[in-house]
Amino acid sequence: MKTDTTFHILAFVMVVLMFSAPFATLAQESMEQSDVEAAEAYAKRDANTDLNKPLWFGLGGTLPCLALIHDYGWVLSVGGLVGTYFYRPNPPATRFVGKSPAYVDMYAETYKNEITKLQTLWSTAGCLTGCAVITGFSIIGYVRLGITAIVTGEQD
Amino acid sequence: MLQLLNNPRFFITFLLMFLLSHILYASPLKTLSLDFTRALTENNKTEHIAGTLHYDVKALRVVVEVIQPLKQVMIVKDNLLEIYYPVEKQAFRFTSEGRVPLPFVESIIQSTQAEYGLTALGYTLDRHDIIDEVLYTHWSPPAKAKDKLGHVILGMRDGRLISAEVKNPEGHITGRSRYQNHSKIGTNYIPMAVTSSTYGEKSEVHQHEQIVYSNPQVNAETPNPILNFTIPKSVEVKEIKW
Repeated sequence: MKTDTTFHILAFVMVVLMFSAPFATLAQESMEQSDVEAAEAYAKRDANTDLNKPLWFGLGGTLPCLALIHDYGWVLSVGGLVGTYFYRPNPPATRFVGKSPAYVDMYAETYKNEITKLQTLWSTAGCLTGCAVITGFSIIGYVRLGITAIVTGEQD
Repeated sequence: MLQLLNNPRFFITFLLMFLLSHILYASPLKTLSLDFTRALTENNKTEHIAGTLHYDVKALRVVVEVIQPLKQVMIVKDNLLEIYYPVEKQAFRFTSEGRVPLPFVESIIQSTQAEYGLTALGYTLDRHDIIDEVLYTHWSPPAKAKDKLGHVILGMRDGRLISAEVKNPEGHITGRSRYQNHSKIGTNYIPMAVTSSTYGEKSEVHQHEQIVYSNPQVNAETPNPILNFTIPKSVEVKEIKW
């Protein structure tokens, strides 16, 4: 009975020694995985919160007007739209304090991509709305001109 | 005690200590080191971070030395943010087009500037109210940045900042901070406990943060060498252009 107990204790110690290292590695990997997942989720949420949507929509909306002020204004409009893709706000330093390298890496990558995507999306939406408004006003203007021409023709 | 004060040597030493400490605390801030603990609650999870904050006022350089939950050194200066992990031997360098906001110390810097740095940012004083001995000042953002910045309301008691409320351009509250346990450092009162909450679009609490500072070291004769810390050349740095 005494031998059995000693054997069990030794067997248990052996098992602990054999499996503790892989378990620790597994636990480490699992922690890193959850860190990365959290970083991705927080980066997406923060990018969405940080972005000033009305500003980017308004900025996009003014771009089609550039096409009206000069023959080559459309170049500026396209340039402006492309510029929204490259502009990025400052890195949020406080959000990286006490975070693991895996977290920082994933957060930075996701935040950068997400904010770029959202900026482009909102400025494009603004640009399309601006185009629609300008087209609408142009149609109204041409219709009024046409009506005026018909009325003037009939009077003559 | 009276006997000790009657002893001229003790009295002179006591007087010198008193005068020196007064001079030290009245002189302008050059370097500042503070131990900090930060409890950040997000999605019902609270993480605790502890470390030391080093601030070189002249160089506008901040070094954050984190000891818990991991070892990390963060250096912020101008448009550079460097993060170094001494255990993992990993490093990141973020290069930004504009100045990187200094972590933690923004509230300390604000408290050392006139009108808490708001006038320097172009804010103008709208109005003020006094409620229960607290002076509330309402600040409007500069006209140029009205689409980016909202109103700020500061609460002051006995010349010390005790609360701040930040709104977005649409008028929704985005952040609230409470400043407590002020300590006179240099010529300014610096809050040693800062509690802040940030809010989402639907006024839901995003984050709740509590930072407690302790052990302030002001204008140390030999500045902590960590203030000049650079990432070892043997470590590969991941460059990220922001």
